Order: sequence, then C-alpha cells, then structure tokens
Amino acid sequence: MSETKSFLIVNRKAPYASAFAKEALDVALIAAAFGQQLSILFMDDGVYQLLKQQDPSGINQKNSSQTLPMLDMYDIKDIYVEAASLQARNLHTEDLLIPVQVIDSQAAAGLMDRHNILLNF
Amino acid sequence: MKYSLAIYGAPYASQAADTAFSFAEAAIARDHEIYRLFFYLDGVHNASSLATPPQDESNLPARWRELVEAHNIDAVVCIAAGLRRGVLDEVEQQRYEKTGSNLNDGFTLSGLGQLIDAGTHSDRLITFGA
Repeated sequence: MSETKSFLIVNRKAPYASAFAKEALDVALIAAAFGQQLSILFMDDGVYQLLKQQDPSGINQKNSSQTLPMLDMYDIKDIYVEAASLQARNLHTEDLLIPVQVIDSQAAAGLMDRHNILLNF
Repeated sequence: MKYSLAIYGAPYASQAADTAFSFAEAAIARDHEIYRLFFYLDGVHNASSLATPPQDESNLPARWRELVEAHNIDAVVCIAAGLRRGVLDEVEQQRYEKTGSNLNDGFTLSGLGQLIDAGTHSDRLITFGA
C-alpha cells in the first residue's frame, strides 16, 4: 500500500433483508487485515445490524452479528452510531451488542469529511 | 485524476451500474484514468457473459466488456461475491465441478484486497449502488 489514507465504512441497511450488512463487514475486516486506518459508522437502518440476540435461523441465514466482536480483535476501535438513527427506532446503547460511540448528525458529517475513502453500504 | 469505481448494483435490476458506466465513460473522455473497476455485491452480474437482454434494451454487460477492453481497464469481480451469486471463471468452474463458467472477457476474479488497494491508490473511490 502507498500513503496512509483512512477509510470510513458507512452502514445504512438492516441485516438479512439484503447482503449489504454482511458484505460490508467483510470489507472492514479485510481493510483491517491490510493494516488500513478504519472507522465504521452505523446509521439509518444500519443500526439494526448491532442489535443483541439476533436469531435468523428461522429464515435460513447465519447470524451476521457474530462477526461484530471480531472488529475489536482486528483492532477496529472507531465504531460510531448516529444518535438520531437510534432515537428514531427507539433503540439505546444497551440494546447493542458491542461498545460504540454515539454521535450526532453533525459529527457524522464531520466523520465523512475527515476520512479519505468512503465506502457506503 | 485517478478514479476507481466500486459497483454494487446488478445490470437491469438497478440504475447503479448504468450510472457507473456513464461516469466511467465521461471520466475517460476527460482524460482521467480509471485505476480499477471493482464489482461487489450484486454488481458481479455486470461481468456475466450470459446476460441476454432484448435487442431494444441496453446490454450493459456487453458495454462494460467493450469499455474495459478498449481502454485496458482493470475490471475486478470479487471472487467471494461472484461465487455466491453464480459468476464463475473456468478455474472456479473446474474447482467446484460446475456445468459452466460465465465470467466475461476482460474481467478477473480476485479478493477484497483489490478494493482496498483501489482506495489507497486512487485519488477518488466512488461507490455506485448503495
């Protein structure tokens, strides 16, 4: 790899209804494995990816939230959730599987501004 | 500038790939470089040689192949996403003992590292279809 650029992965979709949640996490893990500087933002329906106690066995899918604890193992610590997205869905950090930093919409925009490469899922 | 495009939408089913194509054409017309096209998620279907739309409709997979070959563009399809969705080259066909392969000329199957590399080596990485 050349210069040090930072990646921001933005997750905006709920899990299971489409492949975006799972395949976005694959990108996050590869970016980390390649030693890239990475932050992840969950917003809109993407916050549902973080819910505890997911059980998609009834719809023949793997529980993609089981990958989330691996983010910490890969040294991905900068995980953000947009406050308004949680509030609109009546969710709280206690409902979420992993520790996250809750930020407001302006800070979320700032995140996008500060990172070089935006991958939107 | 060096652009890379990440394409997540399938041809016909989504506008994303069409927009990406127009963007690629416009960038080339303005003498920018396309460092890589990376097809991920349902975007892998843009690389299928089997797509057969009606004559009066756009044949986006064929147009991609022509563009990629005309300008020698590095067009990469994520191998994991392709395998899941049934876009295989001859090597994977043999490996998994499938009845056919459909990866179009001009495209290669590779890993997500190529997407990361596209990000770090391009001036802009633009995503289409999310």
